[in-house]
Amino acid sequence: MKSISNDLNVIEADDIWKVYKRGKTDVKALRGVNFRVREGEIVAIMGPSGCGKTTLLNIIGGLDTPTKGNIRVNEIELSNLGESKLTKFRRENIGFVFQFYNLLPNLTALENVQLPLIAQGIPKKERFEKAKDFLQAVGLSDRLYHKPGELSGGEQQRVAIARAIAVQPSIVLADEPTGDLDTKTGEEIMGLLRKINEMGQTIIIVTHDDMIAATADRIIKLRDGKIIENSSS
Amino acid sequence: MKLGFLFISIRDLKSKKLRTVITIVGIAGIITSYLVMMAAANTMHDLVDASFSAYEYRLFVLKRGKEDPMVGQLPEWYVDKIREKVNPDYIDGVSGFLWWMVDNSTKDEDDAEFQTIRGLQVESYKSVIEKYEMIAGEELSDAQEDRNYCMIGINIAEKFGKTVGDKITLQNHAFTIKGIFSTSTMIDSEIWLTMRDAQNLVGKLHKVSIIIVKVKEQDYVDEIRKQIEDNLRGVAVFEADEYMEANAEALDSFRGVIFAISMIALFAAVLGMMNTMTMTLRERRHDIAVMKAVGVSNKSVALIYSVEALLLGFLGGIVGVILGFLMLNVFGVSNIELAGYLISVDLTYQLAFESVIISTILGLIGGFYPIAKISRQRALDILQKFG
Repeated sequence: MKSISNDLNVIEADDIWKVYKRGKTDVKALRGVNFRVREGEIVAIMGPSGCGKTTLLNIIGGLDTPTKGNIRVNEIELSNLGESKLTKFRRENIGFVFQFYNLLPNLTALENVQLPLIAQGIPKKERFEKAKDFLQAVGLSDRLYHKPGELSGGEQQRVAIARAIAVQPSIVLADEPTGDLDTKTGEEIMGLLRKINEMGQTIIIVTHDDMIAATADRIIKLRDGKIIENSSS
Repeated sequence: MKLGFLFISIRDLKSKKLRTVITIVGIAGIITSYLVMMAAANTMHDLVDASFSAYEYRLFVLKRGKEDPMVGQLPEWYVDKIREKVNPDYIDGVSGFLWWMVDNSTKDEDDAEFQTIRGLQVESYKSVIEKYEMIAGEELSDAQEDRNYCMIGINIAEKFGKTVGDKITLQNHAFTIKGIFSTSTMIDSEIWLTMRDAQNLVGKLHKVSIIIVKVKEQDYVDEIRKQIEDNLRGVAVFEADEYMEANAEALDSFRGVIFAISMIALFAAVLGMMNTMTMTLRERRHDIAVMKAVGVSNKSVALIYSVEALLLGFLGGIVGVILGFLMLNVFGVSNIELAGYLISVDLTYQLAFESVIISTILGLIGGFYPIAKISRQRALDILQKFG
């Protein structure tokens, strides 16, 4: 049974703005976003295309920085970090699951899962065993040496999930993780994410799918770069 | 920077076999040309060094203002004049030589090749040239009896497949080969005739190109030089190393041209490498973005692709050296004719090693800019641009 901490915020976003330059025009992707995420929560971020969902996810994951405002993840202030410190932050705190899996096509499932483990400097034998265990955990023990091109979409997303949790990050960020999958496979993937959440990891999911959002502890709805709803599901 | 990522470099090279092979072959071709050119330049340099080192304690007497023995001549009687005027206790010998280039008319006129001949004063030449050995036959020893005979260097014997007793035709005049000599210097590409035969053949009667004086000790060199200059008009006297310096400009310009051509070839290799790495990284940018997103550092990304560039350069170098070796030793391109001299080009281990190192460095240089550029980009920028 999972537990959500009542007093420990793993994510604190205060007045986040993100403005892009498109030629001479300023595009405001986020306009003063404020929210908190507690440890162990599953939070779904929803909203129409272009409302700033992915931008917000990228800022939480340290792939992007806000133009204005503060974002603290695991008590680390990200808004002023340089690129190499953000890389270190991602390596130690965040697991990413992308819509189109983003596996390296020349590497086997086992090698793809080992990537973040190598980045953390884990010795060869240990990382091999860990990667094997995580692939077993996502039901791919018979696909260890297959390359992404030899796997189905659902299997590739399982590999991506195994890679995301390989270094046991406190937060897993999933951007439309079921968007490219059929309903049944999508449900299986969500089942996996819930299992991960039950082990204590906080999960933020960007989705268009109401059914998926309904399984979250909380839903944050965005429109035109602003939060219009922040409610428990 | 994590070395555990290096398997990705090899995996990438394997995944694009055709491009990898084409790049390696391209680099190898350039390295082969570099190798052969530098081997020729080095061999030439070593031969010239060896040729002049054989003339220790020798003074060269040449026509002042025309110090190239192929251009200026002195009267033959200057040789006797030197014998007469210099202190005989200070010298071991004096002999005159006539150097010239004649065409080898055994072939059709269009294919005629030029050979360097040397006219010898047979009674005295051995007193100033010592470092040679007879491989076969006998030396020219009698100015009258040995008319229409010649001695040939080992390179000439090998090039034309000639041996003692065979005839060799020079400007439609046949000479019988009396002996074959070896000096392990450029002289091995010469044909030696009696002085009279040489003078008749090139139309320089009673002329010599150079007079060589062998001095007993270094301490006597300056005095002998002064005695020659005081007694003979219109001569320039050089020690062997001075003469080499005077000719160094020509040798340097030859090496300079070879060096410039080599540098252009190597520059082309760098551009080729840069192009390959740009293409590779363009294809891999999505992978690079993903690696960065999951926490792989810029340094590790740069390392992965630098090793890929390094491997391409290294393998290109190895294949280039093998091709160079095959060209020189199996396909028989090792004998290069230059200024009438047949140069046998040697591929040394040092040059082969240097070529592999240069090729590896070229790989790194060629890869540096595209790798540095992409490894500095943010993961998100790459993902947003290229999906």
